[in-house]
Amino acid sequence: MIQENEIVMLIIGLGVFIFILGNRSQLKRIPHADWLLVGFHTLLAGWILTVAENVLWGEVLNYLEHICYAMASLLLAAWCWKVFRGKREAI
Amino acid sequence: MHPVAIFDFITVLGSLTALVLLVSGWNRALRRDAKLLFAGFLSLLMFYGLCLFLEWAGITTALDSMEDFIGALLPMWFAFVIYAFLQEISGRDLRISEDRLRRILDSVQTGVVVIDPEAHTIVDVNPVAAKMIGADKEQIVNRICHKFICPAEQGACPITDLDQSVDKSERELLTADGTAVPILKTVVPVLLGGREHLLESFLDITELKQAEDALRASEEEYRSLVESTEDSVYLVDSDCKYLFMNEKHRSRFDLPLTEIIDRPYAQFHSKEEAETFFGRVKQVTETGRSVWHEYRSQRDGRYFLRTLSPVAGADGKTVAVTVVSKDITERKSLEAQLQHVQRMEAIGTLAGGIAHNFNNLLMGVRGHLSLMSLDADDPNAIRERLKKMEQLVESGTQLTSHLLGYAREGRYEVKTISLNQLVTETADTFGMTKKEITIHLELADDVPGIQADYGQIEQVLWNLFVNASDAMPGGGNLFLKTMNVTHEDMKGSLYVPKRGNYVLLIVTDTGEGMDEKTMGRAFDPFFTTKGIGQGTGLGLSSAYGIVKAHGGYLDVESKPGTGSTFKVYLPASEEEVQDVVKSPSEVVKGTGSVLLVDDEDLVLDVGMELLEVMGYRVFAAKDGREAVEIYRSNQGDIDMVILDMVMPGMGGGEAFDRLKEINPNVRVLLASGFAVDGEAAQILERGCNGFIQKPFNMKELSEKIDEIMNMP
Repeated sequence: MIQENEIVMLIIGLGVFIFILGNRSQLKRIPHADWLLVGFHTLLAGWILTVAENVLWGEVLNYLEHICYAMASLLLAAWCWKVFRGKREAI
Repeated sequence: MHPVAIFDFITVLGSLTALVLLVSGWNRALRRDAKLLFAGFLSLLMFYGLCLFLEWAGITTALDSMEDFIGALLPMWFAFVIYAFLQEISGRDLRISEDRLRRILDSVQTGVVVIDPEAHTIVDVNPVAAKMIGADKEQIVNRICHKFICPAEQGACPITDLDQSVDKSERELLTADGTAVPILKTVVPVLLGGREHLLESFLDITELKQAEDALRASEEEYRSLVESTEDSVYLVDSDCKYLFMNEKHRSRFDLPLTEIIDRPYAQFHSKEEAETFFGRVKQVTETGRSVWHEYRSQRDGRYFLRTLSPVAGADGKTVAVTVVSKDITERKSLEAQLQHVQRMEAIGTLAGGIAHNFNNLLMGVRGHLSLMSLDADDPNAIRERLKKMEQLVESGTQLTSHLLGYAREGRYEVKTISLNQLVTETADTFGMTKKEITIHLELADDVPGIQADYGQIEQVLWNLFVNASDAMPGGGNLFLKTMNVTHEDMKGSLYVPKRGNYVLLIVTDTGEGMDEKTMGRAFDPFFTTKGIGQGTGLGLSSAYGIVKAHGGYLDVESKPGTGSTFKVYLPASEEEVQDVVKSPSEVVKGTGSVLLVDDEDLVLDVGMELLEVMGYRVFAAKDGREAVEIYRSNQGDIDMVILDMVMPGMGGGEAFDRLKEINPNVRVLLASGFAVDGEAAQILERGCNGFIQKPFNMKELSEKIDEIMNMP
């Protein structure tokens, strides 16, 4: 059964996604922006899957949802490593 | 434990790791607010993962509501993170822009200040501006801008409108020590730190102003020079379009300057004047040399001496021509008056000279006549006196010959002769009479013939040689040199020679020479430095006249104590040199009939007697009409006619034409007291066989008659 909070999370997530698309060229100037944005997109995929699992393939999509959350956290950690620990790169 | 819990645990660990990395590198990259927001996002993600882990690990479901709340908050928080990052980027852009501006300000060589337009305070200043003001940056920043820039405008600053920009206005900069410096200022609005400011850049134009002042002063000097002159001064381009003119010249047009400048010269002058002027301008443009000429304006009839000088452009080519036109009308008038006075003086001198010389001759003749009346019974004494009287008459004849020479007339028999031959022969004869003078000949072999009267040029040589001889009373050297020259070699003379080839004879003596004053009058008739009775003063003047009559030029160079050099230029002839037959020394007698025509009874009587003595039968006529009648009646008996040129009624010219109508082959010898030039020359051109100058003696007449009688 689809929960309301999941729908809200998805809608806000998609809104942010659209915002990111609109400012993509500016955001590309963030150091190692790909890691950050891919991390967010993975998170967004998790939010999509948490809604989708209520419709079909509940168990599989649930697995994938949590895998996406894990992947997103790892990608964000990698970005933090690159930006705060790695070689300095001018913005 | 459910496998999903493992992934959630990884999520917790990943988020925690990211958070640790962020905190550990807190001082690196990103603005503080962006890092705080991102740290918050990682914390929320970590808590979200923890809630999921506790639920799926089966530990507790008490945090479900917290999980739902964080889940909804996560994307919203991430939006804040993204916004913060975008702010970070634009902030960095601004800092980069400001940094670049700072670098530009520090590197430009003009003074730049940034002004807060509301407070009118200086916000920033570049090193050049600080140096120009003469104070440190700290002493300038935050001061009212009018303290240093545009001090006169304090309280009434025109630049308060930020949309307005000022471009290249001349203002003043007040330095720290109170000196006012002229500046060229440009103002533009700029956005700095999110606020509108005014960026004023300025250049010290003290040197430029000084140069401008100097240029203005120089222009003023030149303008006053050009405007204060009494001459017309104007500038035209190569197409003769007016570019500039002074007031003096403009006043001649009676038009405003705007209606003259950029208009062609031809618009204001006649076609003839315009063509002449254009030719001169073209000459200057092509040669790059100044030319001058006199002309008379058709507008007002005034005379001008006009000098045209080239104005060179940057490439050295003539781009314009400066014309200075001096009104010489008054000078011409004075010159004409002076020339008239001089002419009258010359005529007076001439008349006095002639009267003096002829009086002497006549005195001699009268004296002998008086003595003859006393010696009436002594034939020998009478014969002796007659011989002396004939010598006196011969002297008179020579005197008139000299006078005709001075009058530049008397080219009696023009032939192509060799100047070298004439010089050699005359020098030989002269050398025999003047043993104390050594003659040096240096005659060029290749000199061509000259169209000249042998006797006249011989007279020129004799005059020059005698003059040299008189300058060397104790003897000396006389150098005679001939060579070929052209008009180009005669540059620098007072006259402008006609184009062509010339034969030059240089006569140089080693005598006492002449001073400037004497040299200036050397060719004046009856001017002589010799003692009374030693010279007529006609030698050089007649030489000058003869040379001029032959189309030549006679120059003299001399200095006291260094001798004199006379240069005779005679036009070279392309014709073959003709042999000069020397006249026999005795009277040539002949046979036949001669018609003698003269309106003077005395001449007619003497002429008839002379002709009869020579062996001719004589017909006499007193004018042209009678001569024509006699010739028509006795055509078969008359072998030649001696025809006077000037007679009352029918003159010699008309009579000659009538005789020619009767007999185209009639032989006529023209006789006249006037020179061969003018009407006589025209009669000779119409076929007259010869000319004899009155007064002539028996020998000369016999030679002429013999020459014509023996013509084929």
